[in-house]
Amino acid sequence: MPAGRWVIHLPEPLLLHGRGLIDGTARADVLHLDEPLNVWGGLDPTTGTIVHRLHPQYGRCVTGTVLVLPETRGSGTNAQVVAQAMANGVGPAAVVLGRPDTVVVAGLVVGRELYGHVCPTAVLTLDALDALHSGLHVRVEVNRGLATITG
Amino acid sequence: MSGSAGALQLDDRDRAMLAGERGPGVALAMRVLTTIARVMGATGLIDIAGAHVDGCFYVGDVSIDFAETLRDGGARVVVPTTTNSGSVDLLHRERWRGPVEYADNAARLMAAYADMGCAPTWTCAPYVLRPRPGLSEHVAWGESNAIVFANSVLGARTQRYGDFVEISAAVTGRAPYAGLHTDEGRLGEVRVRVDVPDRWLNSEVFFSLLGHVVGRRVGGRIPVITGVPAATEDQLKALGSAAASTGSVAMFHVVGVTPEAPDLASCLPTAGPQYTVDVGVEDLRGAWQQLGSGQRGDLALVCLGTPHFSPAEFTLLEHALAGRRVHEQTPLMVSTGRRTWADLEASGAAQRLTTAGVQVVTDTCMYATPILGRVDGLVMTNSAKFAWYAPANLHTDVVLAGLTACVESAVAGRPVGDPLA
Repeated sequence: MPAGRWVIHLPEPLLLHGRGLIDGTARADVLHLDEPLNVWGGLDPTTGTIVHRLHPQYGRCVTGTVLVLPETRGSGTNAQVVAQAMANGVGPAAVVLGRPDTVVVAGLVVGRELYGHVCPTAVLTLDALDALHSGLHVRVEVNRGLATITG
Repeated sequence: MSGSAGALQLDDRDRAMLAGERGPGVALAMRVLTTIARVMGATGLIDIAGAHVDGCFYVGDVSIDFAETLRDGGARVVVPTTTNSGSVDLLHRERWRGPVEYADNAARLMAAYADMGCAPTWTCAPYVLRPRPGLSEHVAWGESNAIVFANSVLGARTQRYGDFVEISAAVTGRAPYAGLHTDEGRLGEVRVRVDVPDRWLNSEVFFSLLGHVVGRRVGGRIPVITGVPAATEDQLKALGSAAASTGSVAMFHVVGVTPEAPDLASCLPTAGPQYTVDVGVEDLRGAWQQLGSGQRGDLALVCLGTPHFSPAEFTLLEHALAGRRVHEQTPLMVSTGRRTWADLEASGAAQRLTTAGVQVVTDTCMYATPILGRVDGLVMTNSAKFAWYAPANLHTDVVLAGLTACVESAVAGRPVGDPLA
């Protein structure tokens, strides 16, 4: 670098696009799950805490976060646990997936149909998911099948 | 209809249901189903021949709210529909160790599904019942282990339908034409090359451990497994249930064994697999270590039947007991479907097993509901699925062992035998 000159690199504002699965808008801190989650048997719907002992984010709380995860795994009852967490008021503010996970979507849709809770949900590529690390404060907007995430 | 991106096309019947012409319950079901169909990328819906409901398992208020909203809105199943394990053993209410209110809610939920016309089978192994779906038959099944069995072993066609969606399909008679309902959606995605000595192929825990490894390595993709020359239905059941627990596997091929995999080329796309996974002895040992949250400690209990024991497995159990009794310090409990138990009562086998001290649980699962009470000590099981879920659900240490070692230990009152034999 030439002497006497400083080059300031401003971080680029975050802008990601993806496929929208459930419409809505939310702004919250990201909780990034490094592995898929067994929601049933792995997420406590009364507290929103991850309780699966082998999960890397064991002990973390999903409540009010932009929950970023590759997908869920295991039981179809994950859908009920997701819906129950929403009903209990301890669900995430938004969900960003690496695959179109219909089990999560089923839980969130029922949460909306029965109780009016809206949880915008999107799918990004796994590479894009990597950019959403825990602690980042982002806005998730899903409208008519298009998802936009800004930070 | 190709299942690729494009607007979801509904026919006149679909639109009528959505518009409420069959009542608000069916309209709600249709809203759920069409949302899921769009997520799956389906461009249309198809008729189904049957369904298996998993949402009869009580989780909380939402379980009852959804089922009763459907029922009270006039929804009734229009195809033969079986039910998965509930949260309470209706035939042995005295076993219940949890809050009374929970058991009452669980029973209320099961009744709501029965009110909608679901057959009260209460089993996670509906494929043990007859009739069962045939090759290429479209169904909407829930329950992860049943889904993977239906696709892989029976060659029937179902997506991985979670709770809420299976009953929505059952009351509308429709399912999204996507994924595993399509020919191309059933081709293998990951090549799994198994290379282990015969001693391991013959191990009673081989298929459970293989399934555990496969699930972790392929996630939700379709594995094509080579190096496994033969398997019984129950062994394939163990493989699938483990893979569907550590991953989200909904279908697998075992070349030369499962119906859609006569050879490697038949079950792979022309471009070949996305990647290849090699599985050897160290992988199986690692899986066994991972599943045992504690291999030491006093043996408190032996649990079998995750998924529900088949008639053939009860025969193996009786053979292993060889007329001996279970030790009073180490109860042996087995989960099964009520139909299987009724058949064993008719044949006299149930009485023999009960005399030997075997305790049976029907309608539900021991690792899923408060039947066991507080467990002081190690729980031994031959099920990788049980071992995966039990530590968080039951706050207990688990060790995986083959059926023979499980039975020998239950008789001796302490862990004996080689768990990996």
